[in-house]
Amino acid sequence: MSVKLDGVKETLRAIRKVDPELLKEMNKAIKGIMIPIRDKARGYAPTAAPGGLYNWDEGAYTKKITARNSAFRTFNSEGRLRRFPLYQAEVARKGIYYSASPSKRNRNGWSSQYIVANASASGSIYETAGRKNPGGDPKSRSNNPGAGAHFINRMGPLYGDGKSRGRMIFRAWAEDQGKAQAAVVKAIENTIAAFNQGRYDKAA
Amino acid sequence: MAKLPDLYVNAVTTYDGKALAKGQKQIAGFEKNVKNLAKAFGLTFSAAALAQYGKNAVKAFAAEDAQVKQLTQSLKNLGLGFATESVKQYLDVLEQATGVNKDQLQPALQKILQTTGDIAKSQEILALALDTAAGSGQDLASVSQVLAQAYVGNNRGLRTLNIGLTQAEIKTANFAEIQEKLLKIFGGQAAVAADTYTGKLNKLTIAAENASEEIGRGLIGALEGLAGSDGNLDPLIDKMNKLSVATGDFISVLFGGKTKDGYSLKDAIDIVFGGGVRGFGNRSLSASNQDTQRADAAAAAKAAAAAAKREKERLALLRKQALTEKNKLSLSKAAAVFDTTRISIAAALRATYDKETILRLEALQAIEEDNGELALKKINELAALQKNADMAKLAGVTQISEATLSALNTQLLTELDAINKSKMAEGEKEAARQIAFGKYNAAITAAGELAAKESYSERVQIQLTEIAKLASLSKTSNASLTLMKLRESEELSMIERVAAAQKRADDARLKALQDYAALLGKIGTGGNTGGLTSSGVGSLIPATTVVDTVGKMAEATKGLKKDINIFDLFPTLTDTQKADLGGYSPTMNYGGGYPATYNIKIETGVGDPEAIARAVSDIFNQSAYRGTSTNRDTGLYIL
Repeated sequence: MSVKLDGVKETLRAIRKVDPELLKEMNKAIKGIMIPIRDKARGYAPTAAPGGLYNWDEGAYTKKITARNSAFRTFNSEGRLRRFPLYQAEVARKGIYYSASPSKRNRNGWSSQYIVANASASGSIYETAGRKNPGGDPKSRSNNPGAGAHFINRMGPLYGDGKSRGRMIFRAWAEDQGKAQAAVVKAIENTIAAFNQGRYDKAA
Repeated sequence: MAKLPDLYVNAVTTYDGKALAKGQKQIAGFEKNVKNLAKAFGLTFSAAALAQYGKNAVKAFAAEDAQVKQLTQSLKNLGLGFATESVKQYLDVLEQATGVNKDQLQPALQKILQTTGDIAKSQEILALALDTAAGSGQDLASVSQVLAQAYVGNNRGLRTLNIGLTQAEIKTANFAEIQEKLLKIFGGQAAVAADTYTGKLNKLTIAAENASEEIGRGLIGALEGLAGSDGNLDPLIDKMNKLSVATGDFISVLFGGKTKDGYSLKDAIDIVFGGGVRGFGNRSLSASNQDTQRADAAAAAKAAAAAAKREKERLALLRKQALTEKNKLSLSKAAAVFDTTRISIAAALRATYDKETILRLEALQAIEEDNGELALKKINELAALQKNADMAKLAGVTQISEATLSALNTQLLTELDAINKSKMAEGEKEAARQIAFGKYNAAITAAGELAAKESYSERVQIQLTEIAKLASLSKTSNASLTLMKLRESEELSMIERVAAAQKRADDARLKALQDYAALLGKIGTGGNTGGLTSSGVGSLIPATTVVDTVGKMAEATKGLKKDINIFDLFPTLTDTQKADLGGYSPTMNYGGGYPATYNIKIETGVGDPEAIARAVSDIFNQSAYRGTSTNRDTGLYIL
């Protein structure tokens, strides 16, 4: 889905060193392109638990839900008991953010930049529920085997293609049809061109 | 660099080939190392596999030998060298009986021996440690360490054994009690454990190890023989180092091969033992002869005496320790009481503003702190204060003084300020204010009562106003009481002012009344009215007044009361005034010199005779009003 540009990092490093203002301008331009995507994605966050799943709604409980009393408790990656994240519209909304900083390299040497991410737990559930197993987890040993499918059905359809399917950020990105991405790439290319031009001008 | 979230869409992805290059480099390096390792491993593995058993056997023997030497030295150091053999035998027997390896038994026994210095006692404790270790599932080394410490009164480690004693019991229990308790809980556990399948396996393992040690001992002996020197392996090692071929031969021979010269291990051993180069024949098989038995007996007696002495010392030390503990307990109890007293004093100090109480408490505090000087100072201050208070009482001063009130006000205002600035909840603040106002009220009551507000200095008055303001803001009962006191103080001055004004008015009224009464008295008695006559005889008209005409008389007497008649007036007249009257007397005999009736004929040529007659008539009428004539308005007046 993303465009792979070689040497961007090096170029940006050089721009940062030689002409930091140019870099700032570029980042500003890209931000102007990405923020509407973020806001659109935020707009897809339901105001209450989606599909009328009131038991999944944090706001429906008067007492504080903890890992101990949660009806949907689960285990975290370290094996400790953890409450199943209940849906909170504000948390899900605020969990969608824009970042311009490059990510850490993955093991293949790739890193991402200028991202819109969905970081909240409940927001992530809403974003991707049913993407892998549309009929619920086939290995589930639940007393209510249909619960997973029921939950996913209430979430509504997934938008996008393949692994990039989702209900908020992926939906907004898919609906943008690559326009934002093209604009970002163009902004980078323009900046690099401007930089090179300026550098040559200076050299001349 | 930011960690990538799990869910994101990104506009740009960049490739950094450095990581891959680095990874490839690292993998290449790793492969190289692996190859080297494999080579090295391959080279050594066969030899190691071949030599394994022999090496283990030699190692086992070496370890056993080192332990024996260590035990021997340890016993020797403790003055128990004579018992080395018996201790060894004891350990062997114990090892076989319990299935616990000598590797564990020996250090445990050594530890206990170092503490007790007595073999019999040490063996007893070791047996107990074996039972306890088997019962509690802990290792023998730590259990024997705990028991050795407990023997000398350090019972801290016993907690780990879970023997059902409380913390306090563990602290105070002596070793005999602990021994008894442990026997009760864990007695016979070692024997039971030895009889289990695991115990039997352990025994088997021990037997195998012992066999291995024996083989190792044989091999070492053989090597010593091969070395050709007095039990020293160094020359052999030198030779082995110098001649790698010899090493190869040695390993080959050791595990069934032959040297380059065609000799086997058996040949070598035959040469060594058969040739009598290093025979054992000269060594006596008897462990002790008569002399050594005697020496051992003497050493044993000495050791027993030393152990008894040591035991005595230990018991004395424990008694001393118990006494110290007891003293410490008493001291801590005393300290607790002391602390309680100090806390109580501090609390009481915080709960009062009363100067006398404060001084008394400060003196007590100084006494508690053993500060005699300060205590005396406070007591003197207290005495001075009490004396002043008594003097004030004697002098009739019952109201609180300026200085005292100022101090109390300052204290209260400071405290209220602190309460307001604190981060307490409002409810707690109110509770604190209740206490503060309570203290203030109590202090004022104790020091007398508030005088009129205006009798204090301006500064104190400002303080009182401030306090009144704060008291009115607080909803506590004590604040209300304070407010009431301050209002009374304000009203006191007002009452005094009103009373003074009232008194002044009353005095003026009284004086006026008295003057009036005096005047009335004088009129009633015909006395001197004060300054009306020059002769000193009382007169109702001034002595200088000329009354030689009727008009003047009328003018002179018009201010007199109506009930005063001529009989009252005449005696008060001066002689001149009487003479003015032309010999008139109210008691004159009309019949003798004066006619009864005077006809007055008004004749005038100037004015209206009628008007003149009316004027005369008016005069007579007035005279009738005054009582000097009768028959008013009749035209016939009787004087």
